[in-house]
Amino acid sequence: MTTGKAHPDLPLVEAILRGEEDAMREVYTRYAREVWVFLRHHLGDPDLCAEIRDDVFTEAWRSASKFRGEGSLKSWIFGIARHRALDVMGRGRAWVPLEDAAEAAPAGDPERQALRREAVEEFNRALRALDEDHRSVLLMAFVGGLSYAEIGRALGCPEGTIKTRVFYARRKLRELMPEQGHG
Amino acid sequence: MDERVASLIPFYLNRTLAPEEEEAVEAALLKDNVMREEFFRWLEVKRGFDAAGRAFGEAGASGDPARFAAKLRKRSTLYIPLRRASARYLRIPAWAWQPAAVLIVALQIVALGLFIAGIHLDQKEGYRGLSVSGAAAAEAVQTYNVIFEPEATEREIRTLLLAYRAQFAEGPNRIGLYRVRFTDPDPEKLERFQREPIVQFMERNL
Repeated sequence: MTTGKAHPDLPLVEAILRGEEDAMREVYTRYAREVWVFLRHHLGDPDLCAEIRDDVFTEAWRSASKFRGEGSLKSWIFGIARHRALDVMGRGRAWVPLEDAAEAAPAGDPERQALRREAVEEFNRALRALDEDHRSVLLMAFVGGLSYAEIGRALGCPEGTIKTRVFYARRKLRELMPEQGHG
Repeated sequence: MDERVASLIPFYLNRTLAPEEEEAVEAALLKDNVMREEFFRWLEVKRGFDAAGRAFGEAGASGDPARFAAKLRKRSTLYIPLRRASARYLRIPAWAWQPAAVLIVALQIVALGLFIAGIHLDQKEGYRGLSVSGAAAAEAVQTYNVIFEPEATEREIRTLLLAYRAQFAEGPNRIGLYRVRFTDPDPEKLERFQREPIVQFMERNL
């Protein structure tokens, strides 16, 4: 596992600390979509997610001095995103069901499209039924592409805890989802 | 099935494992049918995420970096002033910081000396008040009840107060409320202060 040494993202963070606009734009360009998808799975409403995504990057910019370079910039940003998602969920902001997402499914054979939509809805329902802890671990792994060590740092948990959460998340998903393909 | 290796499968699929961990997963997949079944279940989960991500569509997902940068520029008065790349040439070279710091300290010492000398002169001449009358000075100072965003750091709050020539008068109390004294309570400035991202609540303390 690539841990322990200073991350190659550090020069980018240093540029942000120097107030270089291009550096912040670079970070935004790299991670904005992944953060939005992560938030979308947690919060639902696409417009709200876009608003919170920009808050996440504003927060990253404001507190860039707190980034120590022990993990990746991406895992640090996902940590902020998760905090913001929890904050919004705690305040009980309106939740728009994810089912509307299926409207954007690619065009093609209508029957196949309907099946695909159904599969996506099934998957999203199962994901929402997971505890937030378990959902976040899966999202960070499959949406953020983070390693278990990075997820541990983002969530402030030991690596062993992340692996345990992965195990229980999978077990719960198996109970909730019929055995069928997605996508 | 080796649970330790099975827990690595999601990270094998997102390609974040170290080479030796990848090898362990691949070896287990070759010899263990149950592990292979587990692998395909995880693959199904991964496909679920991929399909859900695609179904969310692109509209607004990636945001607009230029618009975001413009938003930051508007909010950058107090935190980190954003600079465009062309401004890099104006930066003070690293070697100049030490003499600059010495010069600033020397100037501060001189200013302090002049200030103390001024007080002595005033006392000799029997001068007791400020340049404005006591009543007028009191009128110029206004106190506000302020609650800052919980995630705001002490440094951020202090920088903000410094920028607005304000000081803590009291607080925080149990609900995190501070009394903040503004020595320059220009209404426009106060309104701007209220709109600062780390200010959650603000009202005049009468």
